[in-house]
Amino acid sequence: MTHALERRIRWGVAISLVFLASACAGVTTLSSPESLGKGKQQYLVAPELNGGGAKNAPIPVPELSLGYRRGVGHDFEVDAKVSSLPLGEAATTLGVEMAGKYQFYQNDRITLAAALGSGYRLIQSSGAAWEGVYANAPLLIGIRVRKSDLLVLGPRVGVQKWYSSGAHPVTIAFAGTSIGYAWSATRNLRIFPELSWMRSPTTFQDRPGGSSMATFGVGFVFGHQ
Amino acid sequence: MDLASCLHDSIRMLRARSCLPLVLTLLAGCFVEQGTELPAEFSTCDLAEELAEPTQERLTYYQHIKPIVDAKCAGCHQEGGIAPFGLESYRELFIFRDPVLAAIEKGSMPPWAPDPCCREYRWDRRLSATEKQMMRTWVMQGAQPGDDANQAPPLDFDRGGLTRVDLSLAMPEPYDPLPQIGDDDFRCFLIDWPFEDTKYVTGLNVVPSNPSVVHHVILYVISEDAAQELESREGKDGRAGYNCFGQLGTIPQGALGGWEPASLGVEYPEGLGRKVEKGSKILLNVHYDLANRDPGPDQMRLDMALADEVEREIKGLGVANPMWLVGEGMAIEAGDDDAMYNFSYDPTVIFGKKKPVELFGVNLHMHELGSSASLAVKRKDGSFECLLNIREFDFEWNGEYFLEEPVILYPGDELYVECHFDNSAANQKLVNGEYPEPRDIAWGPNEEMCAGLLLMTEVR
Repeated sequence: MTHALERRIRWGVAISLVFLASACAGVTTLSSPESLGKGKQQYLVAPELNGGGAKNAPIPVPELSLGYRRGVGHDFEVDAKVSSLPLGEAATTLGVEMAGKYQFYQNDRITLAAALGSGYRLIQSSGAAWEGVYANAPLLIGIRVRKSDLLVLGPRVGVQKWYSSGAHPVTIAFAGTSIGYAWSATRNLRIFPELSWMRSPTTFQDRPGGSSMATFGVGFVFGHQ
Repeated sequence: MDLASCLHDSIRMLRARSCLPLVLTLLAGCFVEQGTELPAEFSTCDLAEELAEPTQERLTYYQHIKPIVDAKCAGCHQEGGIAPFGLESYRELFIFRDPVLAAIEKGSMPPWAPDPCCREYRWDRRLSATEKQMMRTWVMQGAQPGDDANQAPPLDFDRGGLTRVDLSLAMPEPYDPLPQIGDDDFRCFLIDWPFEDTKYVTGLNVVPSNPSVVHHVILYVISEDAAQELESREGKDGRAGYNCFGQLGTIPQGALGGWEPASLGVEYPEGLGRKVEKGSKILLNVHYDLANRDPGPDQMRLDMALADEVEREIKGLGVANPMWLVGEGMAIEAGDDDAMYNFSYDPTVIFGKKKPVELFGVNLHMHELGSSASLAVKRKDGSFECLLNIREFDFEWNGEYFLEEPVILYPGDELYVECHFDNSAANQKLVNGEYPEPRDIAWGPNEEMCAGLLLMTEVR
């Protein structure tokens, strides 16, 4: 008999799309290309919503991210970020990412930085688990629009690899971009809404054309601006 | 290996400063380990007990054999039926007695895929050891007819059926099947649901007008929104319905049931029913088999028993690793004669609201490269309880089976599915008269799948 998976596999579709959406969750930068400066620090709190697109089953996955940034040189900083969706046995995600960012150009209007990050993600649901490792490389382009505000564009490429017991490892390469606005709310607070969109050639259910993913996050960046 | 064990091992390696093993474990992932979880004794039994004692009695068709054949063979092997020949008369059975006996001895007929060592199912149409022995003896004794004026009564064999019909729905128009994939035509049709309020389907039967070409039917409930898009597909090729091999074109709200030849319909256990809401449509997913017969139009009818309320609602449940749906998550390499994939999870977390659920219907789904499959409950103590085990999977005889005794799944238990695939050259299926070379396969409607499908309800 030819069966399609029923409504109960909406759960399976959801988890599948979390893999794809996790590409986004791992590459939102929520930071400007401007270097902090040596010894300076920032703290990040960011609710994010990750989405995968599949007809009749769009699945948004919310997460909360906490990050820390520190300038280790005049033009270089390191970032660490932890993301999680803690819904107990039903669905729990955990992400840990480390990244380095190097500002290589700046004038009165434009700032450019290159970043390289890698991370680990874990998804657990209903007694099953999936884990992935990934790397991504965004180019951050900051365009000064006001004295302290930046429009930030972030074209990027990346790759992730997922593992699950009883499944063949899955490699997901992706490319995309982001657009965000770093708004200096106060002297020590920047609010950074950012929308990322990724495209991957990895198929979903063997449907041609690959997959798309999107993430929207709002970063609350505290500390040195 | 589960996450807890993996993390325990990782911490142990970290404490022992065994960096390389730790790094490799973390890089490879705690979950790369593959291999069956089923114990060696899973679904095993002493089949020797099934053999019956030979009889010295003189057996005849009308006194001994006809009740068996009528009950377990003639549902398909009848004039106008799906089988290539009938077995409704002595003459027909006499002509085909040797191949019939060979098929019975081999176990390929009547088609019944579940492993007898797993568990018992309703409407089990296998011949018992005694019935097989009778068939064997009758053929060996010369296949005598006996006295047709002194026929034995019919077997007390439950073939299902509806005790009442509250609603009959027909396909909107007749459909003329044509071979699309080999001798097969997979076609979908939408039927309006006529009620303005929610109803529960408590029994279901499909009545093809041309049963000779209907291999099986699956029925789904489709939401109004999903139906709108499907309606745009109907008739695009100038024929009723739309082509739907391997994919319906939507994710249904739920399956309503299935039908296969010789079935008289399924009536669910007392107090159970499947919900159909206002505005829904019924989607018929039909497999037409045109091998060895002259096709003709079919306009099947659905007969249903309904209720306004039920004690417990039937819901569908699935077991499959979501990662199989992505990229090479379920890669089956060309030439691999035993690719295995397995998965388990606790459905009570999401679908059962952390309460026990009762399982009463089971099915295993693969496509044509599937070779064997198992569906089981993995109890909290690590033991396995077989739900469905198919040692020789045949896509042509993929079916839904109802447990003789329901199985309770408790929070902490898991549903386990394991599928084996044979993608060797020897197992390729005939396509347009040729056997293709094996190719790499993944999950997909035109590729392969591995899923356990179950019917569940809350525990009374």
